[in-house]
Amino acid sequence: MIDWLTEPWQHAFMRHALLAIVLVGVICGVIGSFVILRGLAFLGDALAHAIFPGVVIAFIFGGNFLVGAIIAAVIISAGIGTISQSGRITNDTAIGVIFAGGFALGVALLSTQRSYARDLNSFLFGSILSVKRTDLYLTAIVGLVVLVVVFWFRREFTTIAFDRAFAQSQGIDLWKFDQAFLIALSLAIVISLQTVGNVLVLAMLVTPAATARLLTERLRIMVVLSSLIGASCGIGGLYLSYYRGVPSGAGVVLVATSVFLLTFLFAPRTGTITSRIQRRLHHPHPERDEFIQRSA
Amino acid sequence: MINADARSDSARALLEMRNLTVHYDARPAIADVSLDVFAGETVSLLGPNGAGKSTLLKVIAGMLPASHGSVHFNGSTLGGANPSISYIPQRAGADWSFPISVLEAVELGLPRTTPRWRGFSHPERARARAALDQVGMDTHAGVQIGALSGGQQQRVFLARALLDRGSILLLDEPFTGVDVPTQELFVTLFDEFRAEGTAIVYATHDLAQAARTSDRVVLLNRQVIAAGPPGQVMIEETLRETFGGQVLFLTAPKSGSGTSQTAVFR
Repeated sequence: MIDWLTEPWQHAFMRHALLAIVLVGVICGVIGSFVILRGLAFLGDALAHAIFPGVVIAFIFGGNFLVGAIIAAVIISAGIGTISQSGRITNDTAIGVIFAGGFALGVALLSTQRSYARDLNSFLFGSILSVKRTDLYLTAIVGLVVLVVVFWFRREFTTIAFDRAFAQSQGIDLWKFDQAFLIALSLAIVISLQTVGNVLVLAMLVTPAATARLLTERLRIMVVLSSLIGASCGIGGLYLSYYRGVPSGAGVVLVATSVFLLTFLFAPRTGTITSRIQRRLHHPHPERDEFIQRSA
Repeated sequence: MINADARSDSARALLEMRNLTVHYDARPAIADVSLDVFAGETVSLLGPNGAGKSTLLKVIAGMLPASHGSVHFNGSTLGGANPSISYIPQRAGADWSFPISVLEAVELGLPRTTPRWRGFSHPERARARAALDQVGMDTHAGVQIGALSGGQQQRVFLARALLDRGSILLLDEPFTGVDVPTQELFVTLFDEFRAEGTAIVYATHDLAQAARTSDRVVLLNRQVIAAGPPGQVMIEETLRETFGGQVLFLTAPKSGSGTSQTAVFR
C-alpha cells in the first residue's frame, strides 16, 4: 500500500505535477469561494476562454503567458462592462458574446502555427506532466499575489458579496474592487491553464468551493476547506492519472466532482440522503416508542 | 404644492437638497427635488413604486450622483459616501444564504480601526455584540443569517448601521415584511435616536406607519408633491396626486362629532 502511494512521486515530473496541482488547488479554492458566492461561475468560465487569445499571442511571439493573459483579461472585463452598461444587453449576454468571440480568435491565431493540434490540445486540457521548475516558481509567486490580494481586501470582498448596496454606502468603490477581483481571478485561471487546461479550469474554481459550501455556514471555514479539498482532489486526480492513464486534468476534475457528489448526498445534516435518514430517525412515532419502552 | 414646514427658516438644516434630478435613462427617476432635513426629526418618504424614494436615499447616501442639483450636509457639499450618514438598504438586496453569522454580518459595519492584517479586536467585538443587544438579537449572534425571519434580518441591518451611526440615518423600507414587535422596537429606537439629535429619513409604503411615527412626511412621485407634518399634508388631494387611483378613502363617523378619514391602498 505504502509503495502504491509513494511510487508516483519517485519521478521528478510527478513531483513537479504534485506541487503545481497543490498550489492551483489552494489558490482556486480561495478565489473560487468568492466566485460561487457571488454567482460568477459563468464569468469564470468565460474569462478562462476569453483570455485564450492573449495566451496564444504571447505564445506566438515568445512572450510571457501571464502578461498576455492579464492584458486580455483587462480588455475583456472592460469590454463586458461597457457592453452591459449600454442597458439593452444583460451582463450574462455580454459575457457570452465576448467569451465565444475571444475563444474563436484564440483558436484562429493558434491555427497559424505549424504545431497547431498539439498546442491546442495542451492549452485546452493542460499538460501537467510537463511542468518545469521555473513554471512552479511562477505559479507560486502569482498564486501568492492572488492570496495576498484576497486576504488584504477580505472585508471589502465579503461586504460586496453579501450586500452590494451596503458596501457602496460604506464608500467601497464597487468598480475598482470588481476589477481587482477580475484580475485576481484571471491570474488564478492563468496559472491553472498548464495544470488543468482551459476547458476544465472552471471545475477547480467551482467544484471544491461548492463542496465546502455544503459543509459549513462560515465563510472563513469555507475558504480553508475549499483549498484543502481542491489540493486533495488534485493529488487524488494525479494518482488516477498515474495508475489509470487518464489525462491529468480530467483525472483531477473527476475526483473533485465525485467528492462533490458524495458530499451532496452524505454530508452531515445537509446531505440529501443523510438529512432524510435523520428526519426519519427523529420523526415522532409514539407507537414505536411505546413498543421500545414495553420491551425494555 | 403644499410645503408646510413647521420650522422657522432661521434654523439651519442638517441636510439641504436643492433641485435634485437623477436620470437613469431618458426619464428622470426624481426631478427637481428640494428638501431640508433638520437634526432630531423623523422624515418619511411616501410614494408608489418607482416614485424615486430609493433613488433619493441613494443620492443622500452618496451612492448615486445627481444629474442636476446639490446636496449639502452641515453646509458643505456632499460628494460620495460620508461617515456621518448611515444607510440601511432594502433587505431584498442582500444575499441571505451567504455563509456568515449574525455577529459577523454586524461586524461588517465596524469602522476600520485595526490594521488590515489583523482581525477585529476584543473591544470591537464587544461593540458589535452591544449593537446586537440593542436590537434584541444578542442571543442570535452565532446563528447563520439565512435562518432569520424578515424582522430579525431588519434588526441585524439596524445593528450593523448602529456601529457607525452618523447624524443622519437613512432607511429604505425598514417596515416592509417585518413583524409587529420589530416595528415597535424600531419606533422606540427612532425616538431615542431623535432625542440624541439624529435625523431619520426612511422610505415606506405604509401610510399609517408614516403618519404615526414621523414629524414630517414627504409625498413623492418623481417630484415632491407635498412635504410637512402628517396631519397637514396627508389629505385626499395630495394623496390622490401622489398615488393616483391606487388610494381609496374611507370615511367613518367618529365617536364624538365629525368624521375621520382613512386612506387605504386599493
